[in-house]
Amino acid sequence: MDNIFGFGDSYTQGHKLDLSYPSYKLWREYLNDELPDVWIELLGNKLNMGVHNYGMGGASNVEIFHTFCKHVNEIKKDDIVIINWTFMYRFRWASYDQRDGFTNKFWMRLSSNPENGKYISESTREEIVLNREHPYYLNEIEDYEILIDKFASLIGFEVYYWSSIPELIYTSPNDKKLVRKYILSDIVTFEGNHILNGIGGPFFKTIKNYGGKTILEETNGFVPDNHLGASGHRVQSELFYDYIIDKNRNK
Amino acid sequence: MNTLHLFGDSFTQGHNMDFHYPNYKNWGEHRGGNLPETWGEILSNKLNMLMNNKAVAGMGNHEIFLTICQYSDMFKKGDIVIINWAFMERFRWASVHKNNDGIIELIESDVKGVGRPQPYWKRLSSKIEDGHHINENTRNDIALNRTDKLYIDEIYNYEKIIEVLCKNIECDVYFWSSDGNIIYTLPEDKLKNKKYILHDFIDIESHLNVNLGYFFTVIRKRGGMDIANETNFKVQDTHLGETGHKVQAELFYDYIMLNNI
Repeated sequence: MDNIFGFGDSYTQGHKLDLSYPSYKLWREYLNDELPDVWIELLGNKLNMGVHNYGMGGASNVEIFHTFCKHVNEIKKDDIVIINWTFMYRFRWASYDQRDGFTNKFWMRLSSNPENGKYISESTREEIVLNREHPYYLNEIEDYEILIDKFASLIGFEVYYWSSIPELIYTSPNDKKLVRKYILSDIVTFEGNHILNGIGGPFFKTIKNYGGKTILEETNGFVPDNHLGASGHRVQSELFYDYIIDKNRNK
Repeated sequence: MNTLHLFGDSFTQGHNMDFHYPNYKNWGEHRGGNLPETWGEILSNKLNMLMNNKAVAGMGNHEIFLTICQYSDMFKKGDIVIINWAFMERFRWASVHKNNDGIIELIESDVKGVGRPQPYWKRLSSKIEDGHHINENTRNDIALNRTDKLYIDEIYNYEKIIEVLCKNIECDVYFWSSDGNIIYTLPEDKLKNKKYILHDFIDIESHLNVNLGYFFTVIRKRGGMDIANETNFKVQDTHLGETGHKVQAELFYDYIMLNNI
């Protein structure tokens, strides 16, 4: 059986793999313990493929790429890889904790959210976040894609990219954007206000246009979370499926 | 004809491609205007290969890896790729060109009379800067953080994907490092790996010249001198001199030939 691999942040990881996120716990209670399938699970079922979801909430683009590196040997000919790039300001910081006499090293995931100054000085964090909004950092993503595309060509798997932010992919000129690897780029348009109840970006506006709702909307505000709800995941999986099987899209 | 692809920092870029570094100019004048071949040039000639040298002085490891990504499409079957990892604390910072007083330098834009800033990647490290591009505390924090072992694990992750790439293309890849903490602190069973060029000469226990580091101790022990020693310290620079480049090229050549039998 062929496999589908997902790499990205919480928009790929989804609500079933993240067992600690409070909003997902609340949503589970709201739904009497029956969380819906995540888009990649639905897509894997439709394509009759095994699903390997390596998305991670809060991951930065560097971490997403490194996760791909770690799992590259699992990917075989005719598999499908779908990568969601994330907010440019996210980065990771080598940190450590002392517990029970042991030093535990880990990558602290950081972003524009204020921190407590325990692992990194706030002024350093702010300056890094500000610097990472420079358009030059977009070129790094292009470099990652060159390598991943090369792998796809050599090994014989399909790779698709999408992004939760407009400045990656969707604001590119058409000759760069309307290529096969940018999944749904033919229907994702960048115009007007793209802040969608807290989820920014033209990608999620497209999901909304096709009837996909957020958890906040589906629970009538009971769960204050702007990740995709059941309908959102369903719509995303259906749109992805239609794109993948129609080889004429962005040919 | 196959190609020798080189990536890394000044220890790979060498003196024939860097036209700005004052010490190389001084060295050239000291030698009466002629600079010798670099190890990459010598090695590509011995291997009868074209040389594609994309190393740049001051590059950090993340930038070295991204450069490999950019040129990975050029790798062909039978090519050789040699990558030198650099000092861990190096990183790059998006900035704009500024003069010594920190004033942004403008170049002419499409609109006559209106200047625009010139963005570029500023290469930084643990060296103290002027504070015009990045706050000194931030620079210090980043440089220090980047010496953590977690960043070394990133390098090994890069190596893994580069190896898989080269295996699929059927080209050879070798790694070495100017930072003693990368590669040469691996346990012996991991260090003794064909991909680590000259690993069989690296003697962790007893032959280390602390000032040179593991790799350049190997070069020095075999007669390869640096610019400072070759010029009797008239040019105070610790990059490899003519003998150093010759020795490194010969050692690399012998290693590659032995491992391709």
